[in-house]
Amino acid sequence: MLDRQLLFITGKGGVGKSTVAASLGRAAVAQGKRVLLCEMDAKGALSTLLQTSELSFTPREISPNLSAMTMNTQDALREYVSIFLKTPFVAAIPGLASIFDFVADAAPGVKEVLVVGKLCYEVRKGNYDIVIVDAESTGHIVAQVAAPTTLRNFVPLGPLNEQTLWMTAILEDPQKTGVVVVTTCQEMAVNEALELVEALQTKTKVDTAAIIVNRVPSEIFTKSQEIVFTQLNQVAAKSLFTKKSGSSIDLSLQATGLARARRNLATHHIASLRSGLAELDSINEFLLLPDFSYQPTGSLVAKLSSELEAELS
Amino acid sequence: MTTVAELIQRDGLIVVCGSGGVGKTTVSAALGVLAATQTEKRVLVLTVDPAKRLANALGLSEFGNVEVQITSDLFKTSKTKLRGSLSAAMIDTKASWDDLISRHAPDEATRNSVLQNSLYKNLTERFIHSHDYIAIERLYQAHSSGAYDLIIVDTPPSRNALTVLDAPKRMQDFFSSRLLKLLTANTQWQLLALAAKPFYEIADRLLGKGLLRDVAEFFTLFRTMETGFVERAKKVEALLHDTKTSFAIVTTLEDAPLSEAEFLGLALKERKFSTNLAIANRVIPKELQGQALIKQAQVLNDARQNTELVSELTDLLLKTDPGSGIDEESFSKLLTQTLETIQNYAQATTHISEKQSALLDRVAGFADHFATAPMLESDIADINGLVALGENLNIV
Repeated sequence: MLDRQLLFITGKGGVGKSTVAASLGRAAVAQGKRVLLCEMDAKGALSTLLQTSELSFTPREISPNLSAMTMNTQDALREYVSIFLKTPFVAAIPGLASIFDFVADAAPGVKEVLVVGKLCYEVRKGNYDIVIVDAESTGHIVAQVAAPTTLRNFVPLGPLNEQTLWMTAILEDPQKTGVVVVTTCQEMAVNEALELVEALQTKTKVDTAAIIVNRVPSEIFTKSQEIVFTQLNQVAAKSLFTKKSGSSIDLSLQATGLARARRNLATHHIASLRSGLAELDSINEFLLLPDFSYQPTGSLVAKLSSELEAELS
Repeated sequence: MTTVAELIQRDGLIVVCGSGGVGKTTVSAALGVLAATQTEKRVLVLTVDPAKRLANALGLSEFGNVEVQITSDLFKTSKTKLRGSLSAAMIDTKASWDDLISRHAPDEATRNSVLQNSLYKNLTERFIHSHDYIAIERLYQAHSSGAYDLIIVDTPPSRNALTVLDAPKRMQDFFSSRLLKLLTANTQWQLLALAAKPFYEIADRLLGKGLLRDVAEFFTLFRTMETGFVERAKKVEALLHDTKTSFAIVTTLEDAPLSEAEFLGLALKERKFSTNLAIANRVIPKELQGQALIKQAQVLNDARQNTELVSELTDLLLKTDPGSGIDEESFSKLLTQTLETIQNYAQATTHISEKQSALLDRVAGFADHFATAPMLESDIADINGLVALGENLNIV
């Protein structure tokens, strides 16, 4: 997926979109690429994850070959007006930005086109090998990537309309653009991921590049260990253990049992994700990223990016 | 000691907030079940987007604004029985909007024009954070029906939970904004329309011909409903501030959701809303917190090196399952490995539990009461699960 030029990282809220986006960025840099990371919702999560100061609309190189920016509709409008309409003075008219905001909120696709347009513009300029977008959550991404087409249908004429054509050419080219759907192994997250893949297929011509399952608990026992674990839970084994060691290990068995149950639950949800994807005939990269919560602390982005490097190499 | 059941009894309305993925919907449902089983109250749970199995657990099969009463049949296999009554509904944003328009439109013609306008769908989906407004609006509706003693509303996952609180105010601001007046002026005051003319020209150049005019036309239509909408939003806002209403914040003890919960809790405090209860979900069960488990990890470590123990245990286990065909030496090795894994997970559990309790302190700062819900072995799929979750909510 890192061979594409524009990746939208999306998923249900709370699945770790920003972490995955930042980690993909680092993994791409490790492959020798010049990377631009873009945060869509100005929540500041990306700058925290990258351990850098607040980001702005103008990209800033935060480490060699890794630049980052945050999206802002007002700035995108200003840039759009000055680049494409070649009338910079228009943007300076007081009140225009707010009236534009108002209209853009109501009319389908206008805001999204500005935002998506900025991203496509960065792709077209070619200052970066890949633009990785920490995109909006599941509910909005379809509207976002389909925006140029939506707007064309809604406003048949006008300069903004003309601009949408080259954007669509980038967005609908699977060599260039892809959506990466991040999910965790929870029921709701999996459902949303499947709904999103289906919506992308039916409502847009934008390719789904990959499905990434985040926070997958690791396997606990091998098959033969599993049998021994079950045996150890039997009364006779437990009492022999207690007699010989002077202490029960009931709590340890319980703790391990809980971790094992969580793992089995995750496996179950991953299986339904896979079969759901198969039903949709969705052929994408499918990656599992480990859950690090059972491990001592450290930089999550560093751990995930090395995991991704290994997976993607 | 106060229990969660006692706490939620005091309130007429509970707004449940929190970031996505923390189990907000499940906890809301469990609170509802708890109240309906521990008290004689008539309880309603309003939910936005429940997992299918959770919806089934509540006896809901489809979206709709219909409140479905849960029959005692669903409690057949449960030791705990219904004392009050329990109803649930899944909020349908689109239907709720249509409902609002129908209620506030001055006449049938306006209603139909709005409902059929192509901008309308887009507007209800995105404008003025409509999901948030609808959640609170539905709360108001259910409350004023007088059919319930306790209503629990599960708020939509928002980019920022505060948008829920601000939704009624934003609805009022929207109608009184100068921008709206300016945009819709052309049919009201010709003079103002003249002033707006340059805007239209610029907007036409930017957006394409006529778009702004279409938008203006729609809003002109929309403005005819101003009085109704604004009055309603005021009432809805007043209800949020009412002493009957309290907030519950659900979080997990992980950095990101907790930071959001903390932010929300402090913001609620600033606005003088009462956050009666914070619930930390998926907490390592009580018995696995603390010294006992730490000690056992040590016991396991020693046991692995205790040849006598390993060999006796090997004999016993091989006897129980003679069919495995494995020789004694390999089995001892396998046993030691298994004991090591168990030791590792005992230690890892202690590690998580320590991380969780370090974060726990932060929650005390923003809620009057703080409860934990244990990490469970599986997703909740029936009433029994909800009953158990409710009963396992322990005030810290």
